[in-house]
Parts: sequence; structure tokens; C-alpha cells
Amino acid sequence: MKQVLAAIDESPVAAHVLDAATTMARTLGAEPRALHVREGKEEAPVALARRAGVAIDVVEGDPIERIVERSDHHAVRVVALGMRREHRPRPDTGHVASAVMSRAKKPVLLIPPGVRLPTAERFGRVLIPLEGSAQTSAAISAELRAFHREGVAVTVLHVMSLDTAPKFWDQPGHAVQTWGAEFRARWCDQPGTEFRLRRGDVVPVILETAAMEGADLIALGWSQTMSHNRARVVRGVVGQAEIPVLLTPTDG
Amino acid sequence: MLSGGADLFDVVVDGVRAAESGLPGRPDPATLLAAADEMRVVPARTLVVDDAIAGITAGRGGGFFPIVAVDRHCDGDALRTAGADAVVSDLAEVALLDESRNSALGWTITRQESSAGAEGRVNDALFALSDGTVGVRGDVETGVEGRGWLTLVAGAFGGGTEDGEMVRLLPGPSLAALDTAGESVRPSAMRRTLDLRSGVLECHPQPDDSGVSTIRFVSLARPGLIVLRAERDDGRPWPERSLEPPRLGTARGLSAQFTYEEGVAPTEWAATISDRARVTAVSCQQSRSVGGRSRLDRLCVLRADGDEKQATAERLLNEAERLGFDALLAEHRRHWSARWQAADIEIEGDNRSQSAIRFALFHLLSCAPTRGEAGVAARGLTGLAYAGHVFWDADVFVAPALAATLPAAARTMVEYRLRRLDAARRLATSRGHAGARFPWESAWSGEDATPTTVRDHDGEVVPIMTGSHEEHISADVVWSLLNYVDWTGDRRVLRGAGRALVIETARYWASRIRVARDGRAHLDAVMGPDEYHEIVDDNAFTNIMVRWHLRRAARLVEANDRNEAKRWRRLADSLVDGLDATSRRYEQHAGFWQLEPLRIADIADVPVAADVLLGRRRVAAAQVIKQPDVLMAHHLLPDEMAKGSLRADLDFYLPRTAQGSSLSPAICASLLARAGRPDEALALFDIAGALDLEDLTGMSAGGLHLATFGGLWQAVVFGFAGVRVVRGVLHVDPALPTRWNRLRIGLRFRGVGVGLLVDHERVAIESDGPLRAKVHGLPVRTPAELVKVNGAWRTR
Repeated sequence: MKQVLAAIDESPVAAHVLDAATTMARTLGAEPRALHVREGKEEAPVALARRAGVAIDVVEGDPIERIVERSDHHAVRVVALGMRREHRPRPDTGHVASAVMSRAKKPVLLIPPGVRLPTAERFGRVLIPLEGSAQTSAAISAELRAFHREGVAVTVLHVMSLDTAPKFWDQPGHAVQTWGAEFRARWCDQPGTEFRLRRGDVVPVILETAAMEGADLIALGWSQTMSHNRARVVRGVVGQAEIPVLLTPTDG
Repeated sequence: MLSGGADLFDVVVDGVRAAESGLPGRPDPATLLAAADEMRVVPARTLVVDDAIAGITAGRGGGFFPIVAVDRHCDGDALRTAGADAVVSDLAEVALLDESRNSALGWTITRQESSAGAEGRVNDALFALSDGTVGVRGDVETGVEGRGWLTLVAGAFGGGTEDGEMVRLLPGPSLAALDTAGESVRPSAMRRTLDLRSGVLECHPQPDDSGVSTIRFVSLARPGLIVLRAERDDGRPWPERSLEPPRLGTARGLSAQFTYEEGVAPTEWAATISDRARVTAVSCQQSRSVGGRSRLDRLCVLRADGDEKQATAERLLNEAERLGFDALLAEHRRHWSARWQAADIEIEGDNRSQSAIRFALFHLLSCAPTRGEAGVAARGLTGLAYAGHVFWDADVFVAPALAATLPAAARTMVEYRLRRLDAARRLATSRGHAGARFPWESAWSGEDATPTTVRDHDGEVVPIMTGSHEEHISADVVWSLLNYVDWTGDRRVLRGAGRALVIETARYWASRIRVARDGRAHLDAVMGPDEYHEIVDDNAFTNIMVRWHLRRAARLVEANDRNEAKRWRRLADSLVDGLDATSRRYEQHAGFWQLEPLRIADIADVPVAADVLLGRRRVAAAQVIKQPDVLMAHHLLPDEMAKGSLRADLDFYLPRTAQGSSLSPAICASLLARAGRPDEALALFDIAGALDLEDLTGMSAGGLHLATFGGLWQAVVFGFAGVRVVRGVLHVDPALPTRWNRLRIGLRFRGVGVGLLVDHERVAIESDGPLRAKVHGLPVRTPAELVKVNGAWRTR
């Protein structure tokens, strides 16, 4: 059975990470599994996992190296990690989370502090922002299909911004439909998905739309390098979201 | 009989072989066709070389192209008369046009597709074929999911009966995919080549791939007839039926809006049926083995509405079947050849421009039939986007090209409006006005088909104001009609229904105009071409068009009602037009000068959809505009504009124009060229040229932008060549961009074929009949040639 691996430590977000991983495991028909990379003599993560009824592996060494190493295991479907936001207003996902999300070949589920998790046992609606590029759409397409298969409602969002505004927009009454149909055909031809087209600054619009749509998860494809436009979006969403964010690497 | 070198040829069909096979000799094309069969080549794209009239006749009869005659006996004229496309004295003179050269000349468009990706859908649109009555696009070679084979019949619509539902083109039955048992036989890569010269699309698997090769065309000679030849060598059977339900690809949601029926007697048929129309397809196919490959010839005729139409379709199908593929192809090619001969534009020195204009011309020359009526949709019959609705795109952008090259097709476009005058009357009445008002968008009935709301990119449901306020279309329709009359000299139309159209629409304006206490006349609450500013007073474009319209209509009504003519003239004279006498600029609408002074360069590179980027409210409060508005008046009615105002308006409005409409760049290019700025013009011309070929809109898959094509033609003819008709005289004032070495244009003016040849130092004009023309202001008698001497133009 595939696993959703919750990498937990002694931080306050660990309990949320475990909860979110369990929710994701139920959503995808996988099993939750915890991993703690011991750096001292801490016991809390083990106790936490046991209380939650989740099997935990405890290993020693460098947390980043161990988590990335474990994520490579074929059974691991998703890696769940907690984030820190200690340096606001400039968002900082935390040293370990940043490194793992940039290196892991599997999707990484990032859990912000104070996360709002679904009251139901599973994720009910996922928001998938697409920029309209082959790379990121391909990255997320497997997740999109998986969510669809598991009965999770999917809203696909495209935000038109300075980088992605169309060159031409003839008659709004027709263009919205024509442009939207072609965008979907190119980048998310999955029947049953809701499609939203919005305009503005990408990150705030993603967060607003997630709230409006009642999404309890945001899923983004990205290239794992922080230098591209998309990475700016990833950094912004990860830094500000109040719900879990699933990052899927483009060559994952 | 071969006298040597037989081993140089893969296929030899000589007299001996012909006798053995019972093939008649030349001038019968049988031997040539047999050779072509064995070589697996299509006659329309196969060179025939011969030195005898019998051989040339055989080539012509077989539909071969090109046919080159070698003149050994000084009888070149006879060889030409027999059908030779070129006559040479030595074979060494024949420079074979290879694929890349054809492509560089803009005669072919080739695309490779690796899978059912976005490029395939865009290519489906680029390679759409039409005769103006039916349109065909898509992938029939395979049954790949998500791709569609689409047939459309002009005038066949469905929907629009429920509140909020849009009336839209009804997809016709599809030609059945050539795979069987639902299993895709799509090769890993497919190569499609559209030969613009002959209107033929070929599709081949990549070398080393098995799969189906096809050649298809929509017959210009027999409107409504689709012809397909397919070949395969993979041993698989052809499908038994040749028709199937529409495969709509990305538009599959539409399938709920119509039903599908099919039958086999007396001919195989299928039909799609909406609440408003029925599209029937009748079809037949025949397979045989040729040189180890299996060949399928399939014919299909499409018609809209009724049993009678189906019977006509069956007759056309039977006749086509009797003629057979090669003869159908030959006549189709001849029709295309005639259209190109009258209308071709050659641009030397710039392959990019050449390809753009030939591609544009190809779709323009096939978007309207030459009989009946043609409501040319914004996307023609190349896709379902924009619902098949007819906008001012047809009247102002597409029709001028046809009026000057293929008048019969322009006449069918005029006819579409004439037959909808009653609907226009009803629209005017419903809005409490006299006369007739054409709707912003219309379909078959001529009623207003404009959508009324849209959920926009801010997530808001917003009203669409074009239907209620973009009224200039009534004057645009009249402009198009009178432009047709100017170019063709066909004044009969103004004695019949055309007269009523001009007068009734003028009556609408007369009842719509508000005259203030100071005697100035105004048009309140309208929308001009710049749709970023939705409801404005005294839009300069609208007012100038209406002023001109009233004056032209006054001339027509004068004989019957002098008072009405007088009243219209007075109204026209009183209409404000926003001209600022000091700056020589027209104010786009009342209050425009007071809006936020924003230049597009401060926001983004053009073209950009500024309304999408900034939001509707922001652009409405700023001087950023979507497309030419005041400049559009300069484009359509140069003689109505104040002296010196073109330059001033270009300087002011161009930096504020987002070019966010597909109608925009080509018209700006035309105006810049007219203003003596051809190199700047070319940069915008390039954008318009790439609009569909490079899918700049991200929406070409939904259909091609015919108005952009019309704009490209206008930029070349009205802009760079500076052609205008003034009081029955053809004026030519060219200004070529540096990148172009030479420009050749074919036109038809008042029944006379006209050839223009322009380079940087010379203008030559010829005609096949008497022509009143002026070149650079100098009256000329054709043939004439003018050269530039010390900066001044002189007749040579």
C-alpha cells in the first residue's frame, strides 16, 4: 500500500502534519506513516504518532538527507512536512521544508502553522492553479486524475496577470468561453473539473479563490527552483496559505 | 518509347505498356494517371513535361499541375492554349519548386504534429477548408480522443430559444474516422501540408511510420462537396460507413443541443437536427487496391434543411461519383487557379509577409460562395468559436477584399444584409425608433444574437453592452454596400433592396439623433469600436460614420422626398465630431480628454488585452483604447476627415492603443503606411500576419480570425499600395516598407482586371480593359509605368 509519509519533529505543527498526512492518506487510499529524524533525545514525536495510531520510523542523521532519502522509497506517495513562518512579512517556509520541497522527487504536502484542516476525514475540494505551461500542467496532471478518481472535487484556476495576460480579447461574451475551452483542452482536459478564470495578482487571487470555493487543499506543480516566475507563486502561496499546499515537482 | 535510360525511372508507362493494359493513348490522360497511380502521387501536385499538344492536353485532362511544355517547333502559343502552365525552350529552364521553396513563397503551409496536443487543434483550424457554404476541419485519419472532425454548413444554427442560451452554429455529421474498431492508428507523428494554390490538404504519416495518408478538398467547383482520398498499406480494413456523429473535440459539450440520425437508403446519409435547422450529409465511398496499397475514395455532400435539399445533395453526389476523384480535383484546381489569378498578391523580399498574405487570401477567397447569400461569421466556417455569429467583421474587414477581387462573393455578403432588413426594422421599432437598425451580432434570422451577460475574469456576471449600444454597425453595413458599389460599379443593387437598406438605416439615425437647443446634434449613449469605453456620448467614429451615411442616403432619397433629404443633410451638418481645431485631433468621445492620461507602454508591451490586465473599470477611466476608433474613421472615410488630422491622430492615439483586438494591428498598419510610415506599419502587419499562423491569441483552435485576414489585405492594398476609389477613379499612392523589394497585386475594378506592380522606384499598372486611374495623383492610361526621377514621379 502506498504511504503518505509525515515527517515530524518536536515543533507545534507536528500534530497538524500528522493529521494532514492522515487526511491525505484517506483521500488517496494510502496509509499514513510517520518519520522522525532524531537529532537529540526527543521522544515527543514518537508519543504523538503512537497516540494517533500511526506507525513511526525513527532514524538518525541529517533531517533533510534522511527525509529526502525516505521519500525516494517506491512506497512513498506523498511527503508531509510542517512549515515555519518565523520571519514574516517575508515568508519563510523553514530550512528543512524548503530543502525537502526543492529536492524530493515526490509530491510534498506542506502544512502551515495554524492550518485549517477539513472537518471531514478526507479532503473535499482541491484548488489547482495552472499557469498554462506544459511543464507545470504535466506535473500536476497525475494528481488531478488521482483526486478525480477518489471523488475529490477539483477546481482549476488560471489567473491572468502581467505575465500571462492574453494579447487579444475580442468580444468578452465569446472570448471567455473560447479561451477557457482551449485552455482546458490544453492544460487540464479532465472531465468533471470546475474551471475558474480570474485576473490580478496571482498569489492573492489564488488564496481568495481557495476561500471562495471552499477548497481545503491547494495543489501546485513547480520546477523546484526558486528562480522562476512560478516559484514566486509557489513561495507566495506556501508562505501565506492557511490550508495545506501540495507541491508536485515537474519531473517527479 | 524510351530510347535509353529506362533504369533511371521507377515507373514506366509507355506505349507498349499502354497497349498491354488497354489504356487509350494521349490526349486521353489514362497513361499519365496510371503512372501517377503507380508512383503514388497526386496529379494536382505532379509536374508533367511534354513537347506535344496531345501530351499537354492529357496533362490538363488528368488534373496535373504544373504542366510544362517544351517548345521545339515554335508553337508556344498553341501549347499554352492546350493548357501548359509554362512554356520553355529547354528543359534546363525548368527550376523545380521544391517543398521549401513553395513554403518560402507562401504557397504551402506544412505542420508536423507529434500527438493529439494543442498544436493539432490549432492546425485543424489553420487547415480548415471551405467553399463558403460548407466548412471542414479536423482529423479524420485517426479517432484520437479530444480531437474532432468538424463539418459546418453556413446558415445552419441551433439553440437560442431559452433565456440566456446563445444561438450557435450546428455541427454537421462527421466523416467517419479511418481507423476501425475504435482503435487508433495514429502514427507517432503526422505531417500535414496545405497547398494554398490548389486548396488541397494532404496528410501523411512520418517516413517509416505506417498509417493512413489522405488528400482532401472542399470543391470550389461544386459547392457543398467534400472529397477525400485515403491510402494505407497496413492491411487494415476501411470503415464500412462513411459518416458518423459529430466528433466535436473541445466543443463536445454542444452535443446535448442537437440529435443525430442516420440511414442507408437510397444513399448513405446522416443528419444533425437542432431546434432551428437540420444538416444532412449524403456520402459514398469506394475502395480498391492500387500498387499494393489500399485506396479509399470518399465523397460527401452537405446541405442544410429539408428533404428537397437532401435530394439535391444526392444528385450532386451521384454526379460527382460519376466524374471520379481525379476529374473533381482537376476542376477544383482550375477554380482555385482562376481565383488566384485575379487576386494574388506577391511580395518580393519578405517571405514572412508573403506567407501571411497568401494564407489570408486563401481563407478570404473561400469564405463566401459566389451565389445566394453569405453571412460570413467572425471565424468563417473554420470553427465553432464566436458561435458562427456575423459581426461588422464581415462588412468592414472581409467584404472589401472580396469586392476588389471576387465581386460575386462580395455580392452574396451584401445579400445577407439585404435579406435581413426586415429584422433590422423590427429591432429599430423594438427600441422605439424609426427605420432599421442592424444588430451587433446576428445569425440566420437576422435578429439580435448578441449575448447579454458574461461571467468575466473577475468572477462577476457583467452585462455585455455591445448588443444594446454598439450601433455603428448600421452605418458599417451601408459603408460596405457602397464600397461594393464603388468597386464593382454594380449600381443595380442601389435601385432595389440596397436603396431601401441605405434609406431605412438613415431613418433610424434621424430618429435616434438628439438635437440640442444650440442646434448641435448628438448621439448619446453609444459604444464605438473601442469597447473599453462602453457607453459614451458622441463617439467620434459613430458620429462621422452617421454623418457620412446621412449625406449618402440624402442623395438616394432626394428624388422621392426632398424634405427628408434636406432634413438629413441638416442633421449631418449639425452632428458634432469632436474635432479640436487647434490640435487637429478628434476627441474619441465626449470627455475622453479628461480621462487618466495613460500610455500603453507604461503598462505592457503591445499587443495586450488591457481590459483583462487592468480590469474593466480601470481601462474605462483611462485613455487606453482597445483598437482604432477615431483612427477607424480615418481608415474607412479618409475624405470625411479634416486635413492634417491623420498625422495628429496617429501621434496621439497609437501610443494609447493596446492592439488588444484582433482587428486592430492590421488597420493601424494600413494607416501608418498611408501616412508615409511604412516601416512602422510593417511591425504591426507582422503581428496581424502571425495572429493565427502563430496562434498569438491562444484561441485560433476555435477558428481563424477572418477579419484579421481582411485587415491584412487592406493593409497591403489600401495601406502599402495606397489604393483608393475616389469618384470612380482608382487611385494608387504606394509606400513600400524597406523590407519589401516589390509588390504585385491583382484586383478587379468595375469589371476590369487590374495588375499593379510596385517597387521603391517604380509603379506599373495594367488592365484588361479601359480603366480610370491615377498614380501618385497623375492620370494614367493603362498600361502605364511611372518612375521616380529626382524624387518626383514621372510617366515613362
